[in-house]
Amino acid sequence: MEESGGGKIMRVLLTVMALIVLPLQGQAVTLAEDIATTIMLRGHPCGGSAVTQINEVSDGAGNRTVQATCPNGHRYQVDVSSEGRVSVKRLK
Amino acid sequence: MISPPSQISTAAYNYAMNYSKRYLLVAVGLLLLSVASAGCAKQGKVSVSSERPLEQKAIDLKAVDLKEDVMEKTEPAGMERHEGKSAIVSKSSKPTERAETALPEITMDQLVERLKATEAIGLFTKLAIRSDVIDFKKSVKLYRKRSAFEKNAKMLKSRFDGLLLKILALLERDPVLSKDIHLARESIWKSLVGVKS
Repeated sequence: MEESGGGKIMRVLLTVMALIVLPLQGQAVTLAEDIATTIMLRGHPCGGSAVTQINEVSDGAGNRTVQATCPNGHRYQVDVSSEGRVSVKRLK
Repeated sequence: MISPPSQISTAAYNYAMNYSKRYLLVAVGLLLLSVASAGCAKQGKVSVSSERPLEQKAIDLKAVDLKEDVMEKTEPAGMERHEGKSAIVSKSSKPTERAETALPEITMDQLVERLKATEAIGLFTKLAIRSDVIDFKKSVKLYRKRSAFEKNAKMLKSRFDGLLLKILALLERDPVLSKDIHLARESIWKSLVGVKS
């Protein structure tokens, strides 16, 4: 069955509305934002609210290492020990 | 349905009707969109608007206190006051006391639990805050051990305020928790240093 012009427009409008409203409802933090916040919390400049090029490595002992690049171009390494201690160092 | 006038051809009539339908649909869509965006804006203001009544209440209560004080001073001795006419709050329960008891009591451990549960901050940030809190607790313990807590209380309090400010800044997406922490900062401090209120 062929859809009328009005139906098409309504469908497009509903899709647009859903695209506007849905992101406002879900406010979970992304990993990129989380890492950028952690870097800034440890006193390092990042130049934005989200990092890019995230590489995550974890060893058998429960230690986690995350390397990421900030919007200002600096690359950082975030180390999380098995006890939950967080430290950040800048990579050269 | 209106029948087409004889002068206009059926094709032209259909064309005009289709266009008017489209415009109507677009108008309805825009109306819905504006209603939805207004609703979202209102949702964002909830935290702000929920704070206002508390502040307003506190101001009102202070005003009542002042009013009562003035009335007591101006009233001649032995004259009875009619209840509900001038004094809104009875003397037995002071409004300022009631305002104080209404503040939420949060201990440091409860704060940690609520921070663990919130989705406003990510795992790495939570771990970083946890490290800061553990470090702070350790330094408080150390000063207590050396019996130098009273001497350094001011410095420790400013460190605590800084830590709390950091947490509040991170809780932008959880206004309820942020507000509760802000209101209960003194009780958190007391629970941390072990002072009985």
